[in-house]
Amino acid sequence: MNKKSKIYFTVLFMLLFVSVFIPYALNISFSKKGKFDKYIGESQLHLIKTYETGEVILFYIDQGARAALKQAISNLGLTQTDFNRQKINKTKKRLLPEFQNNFLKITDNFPETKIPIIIDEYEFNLKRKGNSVELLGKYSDILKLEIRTDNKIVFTEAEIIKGERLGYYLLNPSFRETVAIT
Amino acid sequence: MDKKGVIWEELADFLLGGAILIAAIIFFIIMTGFTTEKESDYFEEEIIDVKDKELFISFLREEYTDDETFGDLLSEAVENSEKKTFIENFDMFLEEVYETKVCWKLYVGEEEWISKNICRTDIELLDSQIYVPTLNSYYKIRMNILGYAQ
Repeated sequence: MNKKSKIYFTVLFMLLFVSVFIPYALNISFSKKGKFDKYIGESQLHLIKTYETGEVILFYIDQGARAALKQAISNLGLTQTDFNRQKINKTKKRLLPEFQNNFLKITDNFPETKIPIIIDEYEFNLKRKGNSVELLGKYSDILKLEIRTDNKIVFTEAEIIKGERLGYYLLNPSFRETVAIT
Repeated sequence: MDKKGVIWEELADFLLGGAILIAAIIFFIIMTGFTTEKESDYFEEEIIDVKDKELFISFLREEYTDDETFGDLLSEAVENSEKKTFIENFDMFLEEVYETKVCWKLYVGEEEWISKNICRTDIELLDSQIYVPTLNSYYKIRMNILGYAQ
């Protein structure tokens, strides 16, 4: 290519670029998500939203454990003396089944989907702290919450719902709740 | 080719190469860089929503007494329909957090349950909702801090 034709080609190329390529690129950029199929930051947003859902679930579990424990103490009519060193093991045997029933009922009631807690995965530790009783629930497994593009709350154990899944967010539903006793 | 011809040849090469390079960069930027106002608004709203929820949960996880959090106090208040203690203590807590009094509302379900202080600004500081469980159901609690109080 000689120098004259190179200059003509450059001018022609720039004209073509301004009149064809730029409008084409603008059209693609505004009408679709472009080359990367997703908006920049979209996957991160889904991850952050799943984290937010995880926090809501953990808060619900904490409050649920507290409500379940209070209800169990009230149902069994337990008082401070039942939590004395001599009686606490006997009390634990009565209290835990009642607590577990209440707790499962609460986790089943979570909006959108039930929380797939397996009660046997918990190791419970009950102790008296002054005028209160403390229940520690240590969960030995994890709950797998799906990071989804449709923002549905889906645990892997739950029924599979169509939609894109980006990964898993792991939750440990352990809790420590203290309730005052009379 | 004479000396002048070589210079023109070099210049023509340089112009063509530069033009193609600049065109490619502009094309790539336009293809990937634009987001519509609707999209950026969506992202902004979602991020604010996440931040608000995180903040609301951290408020409720704050210690009220040695054994109780504001979340515990709130669920007791809602369950027993006794809001006075919660209002007083939570309002004081919010004043500590924002270093001035704020006007706020709390909704249980769709119903406005608490409305505290009169606003002097309308810059919304927080709007979020969470679920508080009861034995057989749950409450949907929405907290709305509307701005700084008079």
